[in-house]
Amino acid sequence: MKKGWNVLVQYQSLIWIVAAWELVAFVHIMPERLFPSLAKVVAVSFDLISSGLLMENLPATLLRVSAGFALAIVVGVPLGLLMSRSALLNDVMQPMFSLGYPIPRVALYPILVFILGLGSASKITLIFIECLFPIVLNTYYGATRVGKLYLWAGQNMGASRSQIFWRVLLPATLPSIFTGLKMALPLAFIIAVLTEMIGSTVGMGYLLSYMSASLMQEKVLACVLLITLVGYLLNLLLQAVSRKYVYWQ
Amino acid sequence: MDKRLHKIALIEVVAVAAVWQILAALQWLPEYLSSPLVIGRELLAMAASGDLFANAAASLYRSVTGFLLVAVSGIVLGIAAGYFKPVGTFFTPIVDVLNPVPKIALLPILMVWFGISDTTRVLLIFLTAFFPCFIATQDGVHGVRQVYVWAAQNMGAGRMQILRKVVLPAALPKIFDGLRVSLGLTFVMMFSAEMIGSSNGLGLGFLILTADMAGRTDLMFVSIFIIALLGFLFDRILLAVRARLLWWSENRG
Repeated sequence: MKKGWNVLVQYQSLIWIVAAWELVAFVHIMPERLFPSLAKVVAVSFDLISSGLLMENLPATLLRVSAGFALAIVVGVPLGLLMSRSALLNDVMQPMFSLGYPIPRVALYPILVFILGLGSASKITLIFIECLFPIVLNTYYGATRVGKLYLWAGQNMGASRSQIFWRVLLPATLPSIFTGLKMALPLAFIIAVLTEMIGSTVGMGYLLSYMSASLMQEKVLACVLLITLVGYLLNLLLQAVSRKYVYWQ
Repeated sequence: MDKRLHKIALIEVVAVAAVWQILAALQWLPEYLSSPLVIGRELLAMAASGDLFANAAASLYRSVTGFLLVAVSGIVLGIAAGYFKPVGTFFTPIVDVLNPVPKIALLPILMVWFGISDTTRVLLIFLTAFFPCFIATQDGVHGVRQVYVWAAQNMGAGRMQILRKVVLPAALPKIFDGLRVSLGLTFVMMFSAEMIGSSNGLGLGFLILTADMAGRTDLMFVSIFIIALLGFLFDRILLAVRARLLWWSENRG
């Protein structure tokens, strides 16, 4: 009994908010189309799932996210590692990343659309660019912080350069690489939804703008709920992968 | 970034512009990629007519208002949540639930509630940029070394005195980390809100939209350049403020 009460106290803020929302919806301060009750939003979300609208649009978004994200890993991780080993490469690349970091890179999207069209290519490219920054920077800083002692110990025991790379440097950098990936994945998902809202014919962002054209807020909120859920599940998946490979932390 | 990297950065920018210009002059690039000279001429023309400043000012107004709201509320609430335990437990579930929501998805809802207006855009910017600032501030307060607090208590400082003289300065580096992330997000969201909530008003996002519809890529490049420049400048300003306030901190941007 005491325990249940404690949980209630702990989550009281959420309970207050939900209660206030339902109250506003219940007494119809605003028309129901503008301010639907949360119970209705959840019901509509299930409708979206069972009617197949989710399954029509989710694969396209997931494909764009994973393509851009994978591309950024394939390019970003080796680049970050090489930058930590080569002063010349670091001198060339570091200024570009420092200059590009504070720039809102979504602004490039209209130009990418001009070059690559409105399809998946421009969206994947923007996701790739956006993900590259956290992945490269975290890999680089992680790799520069690998203890010199480990590298020396490896050399002392007669490890070749490639052995040191694969058996010492890469595992020691792995936690930082995953830190970068965890920053990049939500970005990838948000950029996918954002670019789909700007212009697309399929995808979660498209579903959202399509639903908002109906001016029925419960449908829009249901979309937001589903989008949040998908993003949340993606992060859980990445966390599971990271726990499998960085088991020592 | 030290002086040497500054120099390399400058050389790289000039080199990219030069190669772009040469390729454009040789007509090896598709027509729509313009050339730095054409873009520069357009930029000067727009600066001369004042269009540039009107659009940039409208966009800046939105992002700066949003950022100031975030900075004040994020820091105040973050410190309260980090320093006073009940406040922290009150806010934690809200933050846990709302933080993973892609805020841009809320734009259609905000547009219905508040119209296609600056209120909507500033609110969207605020919702996006608030969480990094709040979370970093709370983390920063939690991360203050307990020894400092004990030392202050030992010397007879009151609870509010400790907050002002010990906890706040010690949390400041983390707070600035959060502010930097939030600042970047305000510019991203300013642009996105203008791109999606299309209406005919002033703003750099609208400028790109109109240029896009007219097929004027040179104009698009001008607005992209200005957005990039503003994002870069404001980041520098924040870093300069940080360096002034945190002259004792070793960890500088």
